Amino acid sequence: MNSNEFSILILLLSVDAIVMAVLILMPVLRREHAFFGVRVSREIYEGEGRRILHRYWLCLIASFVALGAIGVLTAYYRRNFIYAVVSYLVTYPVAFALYANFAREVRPFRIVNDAKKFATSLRTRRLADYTTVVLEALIVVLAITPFVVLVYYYPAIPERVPVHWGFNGMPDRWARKTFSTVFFLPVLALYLQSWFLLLKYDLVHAKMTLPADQAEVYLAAKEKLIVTSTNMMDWLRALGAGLLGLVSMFVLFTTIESLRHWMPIANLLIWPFVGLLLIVVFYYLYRFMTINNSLEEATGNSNVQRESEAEKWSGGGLFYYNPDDPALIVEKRDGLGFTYNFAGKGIRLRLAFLALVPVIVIWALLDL
Amino acid sequence: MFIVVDEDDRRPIYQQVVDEIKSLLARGELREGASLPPVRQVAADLGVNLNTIATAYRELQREGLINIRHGAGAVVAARTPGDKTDDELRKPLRAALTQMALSGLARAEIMRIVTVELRGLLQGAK
Repeated sequence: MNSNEFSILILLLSVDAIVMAVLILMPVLRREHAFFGVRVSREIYEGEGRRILHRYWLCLIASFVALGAIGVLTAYYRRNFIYAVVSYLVTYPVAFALYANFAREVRPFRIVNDAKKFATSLRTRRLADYTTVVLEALIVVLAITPFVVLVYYYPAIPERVPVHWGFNGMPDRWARKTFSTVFFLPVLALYLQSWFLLLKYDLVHAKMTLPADQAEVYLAAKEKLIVTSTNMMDWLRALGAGLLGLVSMFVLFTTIESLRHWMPIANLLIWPFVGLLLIVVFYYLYRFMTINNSLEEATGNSNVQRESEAEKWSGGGLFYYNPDDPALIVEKRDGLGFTYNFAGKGIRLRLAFLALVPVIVIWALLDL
Repeated sequence: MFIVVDEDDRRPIYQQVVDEIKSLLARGELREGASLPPVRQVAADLGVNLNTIATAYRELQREGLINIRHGAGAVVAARTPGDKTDDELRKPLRAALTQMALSGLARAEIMRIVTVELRGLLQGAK
């Protein structure tokens, strides 16, 4: 195994550790309120539920360890690194299948919601009400500037361009100068910006089910959730635009003599950006939790839905497919964020947009 | 400002939506020029079919209470009492009073009910 393969293995292992932590915590993050994506009584949660949970954890850890070991050992004996990669890729569907399977076991204990009266606010939710013009202008500038600068300097860029940099800011992989090797990052950034803007638009229009007798308390909390989510999106969009814009310039800072002095500064600037991105994600996750917890304290339940809708969730509250629901985006069963109604109007456009990811990646890889 | 629908209510959902919006209009909470949320938002939040809300909006438009413009959505219309003749307005009142008289309520009792309902309806009206 060479050092390159070793670093990929470390990366795979860290991604695995994160996925594992998420899958371990997911069923219990909101305790009995969203145990494997359904609401159960405290007695069930602390009794039968606990036993199911422990079996789930055991199966999960065992499958991670076993598949990981098989992959690494096969890779070692066959002298082919690809076995380790494949084993890690196989681990994810296996882990999610386990989660979904245990969720099915919990489902019969679900508390049926017999609410019959629902309210809606007559205030129209518009994207414009959650938009700061200055911030949008900043994001546009950050997304467009790399194109302008790269086009300007394109003739001056040598035939051999760096496509990857080490931690010290030194290039460690090179490729032929083509449109994709120079413009990959700004194109990716533009794609991500449009994707996030579409997501923000959808979030603003997320379904708000308000129980009639507590409509005001619910509305206040749900509005707060939407503001929190859109604020998070704004931070991610601005930081992402800055970060990708900066990295887009690396090719110039490395190859153009007159710009070389920018490289150490740019390389140093990356870290505050990455740090801030992480802080933003964790801070807002924490905010989601606290908003939902206080709603739960006030009303006893943070996530209300009709019985007919409850049956349309699968995979332990991860997937929602309901052709009878006009909503395109709905709150997840675990109360941490939102998900699409995969039968909603407009879902094809979103999925087509998502399908552009492999297209962009293949486009970039062809010239490497 | 909320509207509420009840699955146990015997009125169809679209009728409930019509009645809820009418009562907000009568109380003056929804004023002329105020815009109503898009059909999709109301339908999604209440968990009902798009057509149900579209029917309710059409009914309100038919009665001249809202204007629906393509792209601009539904807006509360100006109230012009002259649109309906005195007799047209009295008809449903007469029917309701007949119902009460037939159920054996005394004149004073009917008067009390009418006063209470009217007071409730106009509460908050400016």
